[in-house]
Amino acid sequence: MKKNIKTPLKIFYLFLGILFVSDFFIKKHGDFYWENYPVFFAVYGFVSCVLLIFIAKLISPFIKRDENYYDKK
Amino acid sequence: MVQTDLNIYCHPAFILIFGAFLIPFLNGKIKNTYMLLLPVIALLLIINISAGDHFIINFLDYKLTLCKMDRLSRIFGYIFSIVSFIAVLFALKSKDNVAHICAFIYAGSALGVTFAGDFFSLYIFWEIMAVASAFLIFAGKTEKATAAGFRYILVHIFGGLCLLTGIVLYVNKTGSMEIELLTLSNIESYLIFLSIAINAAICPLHSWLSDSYPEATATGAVFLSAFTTKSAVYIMARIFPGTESLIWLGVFMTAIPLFFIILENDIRRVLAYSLINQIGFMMCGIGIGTTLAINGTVSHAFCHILYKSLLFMSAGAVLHVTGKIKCTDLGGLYKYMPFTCICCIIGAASMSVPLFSGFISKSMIISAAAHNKLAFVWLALEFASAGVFVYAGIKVPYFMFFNKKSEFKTKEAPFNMLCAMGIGSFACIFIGLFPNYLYSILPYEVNYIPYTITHVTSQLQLLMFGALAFYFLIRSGYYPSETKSINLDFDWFYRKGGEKFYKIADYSLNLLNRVCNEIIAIKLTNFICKTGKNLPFKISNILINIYGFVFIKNKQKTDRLKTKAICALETKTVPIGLTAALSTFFIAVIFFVIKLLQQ
Repeated sequence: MKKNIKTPLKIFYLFLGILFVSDFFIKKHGDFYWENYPVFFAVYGFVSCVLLIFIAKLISPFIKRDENYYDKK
Repeated sequence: MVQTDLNIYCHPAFILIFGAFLIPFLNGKIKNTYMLLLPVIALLLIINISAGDHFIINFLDYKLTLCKMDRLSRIFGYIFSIVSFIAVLFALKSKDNVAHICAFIYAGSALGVTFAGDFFSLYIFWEIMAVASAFLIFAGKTEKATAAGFRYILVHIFGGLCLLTGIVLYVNKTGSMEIELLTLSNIESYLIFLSIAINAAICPLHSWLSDSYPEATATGAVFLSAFTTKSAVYIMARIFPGTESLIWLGVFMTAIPLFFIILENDIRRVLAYSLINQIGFMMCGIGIGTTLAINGTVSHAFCHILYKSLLFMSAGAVLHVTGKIKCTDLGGLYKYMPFTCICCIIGAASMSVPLFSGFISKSMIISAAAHNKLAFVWLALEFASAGVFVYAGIKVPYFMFFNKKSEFKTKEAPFNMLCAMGIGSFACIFIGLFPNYLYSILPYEVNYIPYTITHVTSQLQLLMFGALAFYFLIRSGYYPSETKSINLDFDWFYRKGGEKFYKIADYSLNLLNRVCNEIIAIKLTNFICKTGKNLPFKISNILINIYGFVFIKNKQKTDRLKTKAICALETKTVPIGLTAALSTFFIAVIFFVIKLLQQ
């Protein structure tokens, strides 16, 4: 399994690298000023997804219950 | 009286609704062909019906328009009949005729809702849709499915009653049945809005969806994912475009399900939550209400129906083959179900990856938010876009087809299922590659170019770096592990609340019953019984005492008379003279009392 994913993973990293670097050379005319900052979207995407997990972990004790929660009388 | 136009011989909704009843009488290939043909006929009809009002019926003093054809209703008609075809193909091998009939009635009534030009026919089709879809959930035939189906129907009956009340008030006020633009200003508009919001699964009214859809059959869930919510999106876009509160409800709706998506173990429930999230985008678009936003909403509904049904089909295929649908039970199936795996990935990519359908539709809504300078909304939608792609789009295929070695050595799904998924995948890619075909049938003219370098690179960055975060979190073990558990949602309030209400009602009403029983049935009756029994003895005693005191004046004689009277009373042998005398005395008393009162 580990071997299987090595090559796709390398391609994925390469792709990310190209996306990241190329963003510094693309001219942008966004509706908001922050859209024009280089790699704004990369950072925003990464941070959003980490933040989501962080909040989800925070609320999970309040909402996670046993599978038979509703069946118990 | 039915006035039909020359170019409409039959209502597309009736083709599916009435066509459904022939299904049980057919068999084998004829049945399969017939079932596949019905949505095709409906689609051809929709293509050929000219714009305008058709199928006008005069009912009481009102004019009912069963088929109002314009650009908005036509595109929803297209996608509803297309997805009916795909879903029927997917369910073709199912032996459950009741489920087939309900699915057709459900799809037909969704078309009925789409083409309804007046509130009355809208309401009728709305209710048929609710009942028919409930039977698709009951078709799951498990205890959980039955319970979820009942909760589903209760929520929708409540929604239907709100709609009916709203319509009655509206018609009473305006005197017209026609569906027109409304603003949230009075009780009837709020009631109509509420009923549409329930069907559109707007948070916090969404939990019926995530509660019931995952309990349906593998094939039924595909139908369910397409019609109820999207017909509500359509009606919302028709009646309430530009309602500002919808923007905020939409934003809320895109964010809340994300946390459930992350924590959820049931794959179809993950898809149900991501469905709610996507409807959030559409609600935002309707709330913004500009031509770009409405175009975005409609095109996103179109694309979303296709890729969400594709995702439900791939999950359904896995459920059909393995009998399991939880993240904790699945994994590594890519070796055994490669085609399903590819279709699932295409469906997931269609949420927002360039070259797939969602990219060209969702971005219109986000752009509309940007053009209107709604900074927070824009940030929230981009956030949700990344979140749903990573945690639903990557999670679903990852946990079904990769993650770990497969516990099942299975075959691919049946051929008809693969065909249905193939058509769905083709449609998702085709729309992504050639968006102009979709843009040309949107309600308003489109001046939007999705494929610009900045747009493509920015979206790719957003999604791919989100995916990188997912990978890092999984590797580091920080990603919350999938466990055999459920998550409490807003349905807790009526599931646990209902139970509590039942217990309270049980306790208080039964307490009242017990108290009443104690006081009235036991104590009061006993009292009356005892008093009634002893009264003659007491009266005779008193009377004899008075009589003895006035006339006899001898205690012994008086006592003897008392014993005689008691004996006579006990043996019911009271001399008639005495009884008559007493009666006369009693009547005389009453007479004098009345006389006194009259004075």
